[in-house]
Amino acid sequence: MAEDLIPNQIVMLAAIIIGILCIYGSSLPVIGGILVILSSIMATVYGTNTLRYIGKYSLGTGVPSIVYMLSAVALVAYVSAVMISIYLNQPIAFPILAILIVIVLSFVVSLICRYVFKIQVEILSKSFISISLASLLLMISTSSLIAQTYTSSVIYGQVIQNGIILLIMIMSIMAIQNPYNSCMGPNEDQYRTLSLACSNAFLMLMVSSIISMLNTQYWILYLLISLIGWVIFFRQYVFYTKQQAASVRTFGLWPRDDGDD
Amino acid sequence: MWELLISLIIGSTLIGIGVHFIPVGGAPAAISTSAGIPTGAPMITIGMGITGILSAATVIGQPYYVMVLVGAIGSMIMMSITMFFSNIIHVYGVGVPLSSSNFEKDPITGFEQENYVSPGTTGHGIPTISFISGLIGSFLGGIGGSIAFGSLYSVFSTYLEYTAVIDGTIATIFSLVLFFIVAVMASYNIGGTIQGFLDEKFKQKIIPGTISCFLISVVLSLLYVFIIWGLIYG
Repeated sequence: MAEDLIPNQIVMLAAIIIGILCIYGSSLPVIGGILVILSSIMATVYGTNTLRYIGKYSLGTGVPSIVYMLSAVALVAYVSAVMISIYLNQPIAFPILAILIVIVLSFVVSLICRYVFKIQVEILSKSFISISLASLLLMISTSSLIAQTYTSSVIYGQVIQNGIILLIMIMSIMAIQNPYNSCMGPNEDQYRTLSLACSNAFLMLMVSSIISMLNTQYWILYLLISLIGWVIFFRQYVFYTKQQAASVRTFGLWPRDDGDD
Repeated sequence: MWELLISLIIGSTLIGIGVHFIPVGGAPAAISTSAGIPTGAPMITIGMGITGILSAATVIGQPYYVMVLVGAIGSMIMMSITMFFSNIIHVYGVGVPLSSSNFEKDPITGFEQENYVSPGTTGHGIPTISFISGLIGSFLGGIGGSIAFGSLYSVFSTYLEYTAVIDGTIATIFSLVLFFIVAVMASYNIGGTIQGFLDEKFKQKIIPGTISCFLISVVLSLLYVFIIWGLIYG
């Protein structure tokens, strides 16, 4: 694998800070949706970049199932934060509460993995917390795009009660796990994986912006932004793929280190 | 609330035990070099859970035991169709006999498997005893999922003043999330392939698996009861 050009700490800090700020800005009239689109992209990149590190270890089952479990953990934290903030009548507390609950829950899950199943991986707790945090931020961003606000009572009525949250959950699982699962191998490269992650996130946002026509008449703007973003990043992904496969494409040389490495 | 807590714990522990019974081959089974269902344990369990919960949701309004039984039967139908067509493809498409090297003799058919396992592989397809083990596993998983669904739905319909559709939706979300978490925890415990209850690996793995599924279900159920308490009295 090539050296990583973007360190994971920078991706993590940027995703968390920009994500929280953008989620708090989601109540603004038209700009809010665009901010939330930005935070969804950041969250997907964060989740995929963390999965690139933990996915190299063999945890006993495939790569997608890590993301399945941790997104379900994030969903539990999401729903409980919605309920608590409705109970306390503090809508502003919902994203922060969700982040706190998801950190505690995924830490408990990683402790069970470490001490009951004896999975000896040093970065297990950190990666589990990161992936569940990323999928939580992605789910909150997408549901803020659909509900056009982060207020918990509106989200409860517009996203949870009619079951759209399950669709959001499955879409965010696909957006986070698919890029690494399809790019993994001996010559896996950060730029290639992350450009596929961005294009997947835009693909997911196209569906979400069509659903957001329930609450806003600017959904066509969000759909256009997502479409343009998807075209840009998918072209970029194809470019990186062709660049990395240049030796095979141009000269027909079979890569020598393709194997168990 | 105590009934809800206890039934959630029982339901998710049953799901965790049921996952261990399902013969899972993973990626090697997809290229016929290992026996079992050709996919990972979490995927097949989540599919089974969705089918069971949706079939339990079709009989909303009937008595509790009907809901539980219909959910279990829905899961069993899904699992048996998957295993049957996997076998059809292995026998008529790939052209391999159904056998496994993890046990020598099938106790139901009396079939001696050793000569039929290709060299370099650990079997192919789903033999009869693994098929029956998969049915038992899906029965347990379906019962667990529909116990969770039924108890959540009955609490919602008693205390909340929503329509039946909204109650069913929220109960489905909560019970599906249980499957997502418990199935992946159980498959971390299995770690690779397993061939049903006759396998040696099953005897080693079932006790730590049950304990860990019980632990995670206690954590989740406490959080669920907390959420639902807030939903009702908040």
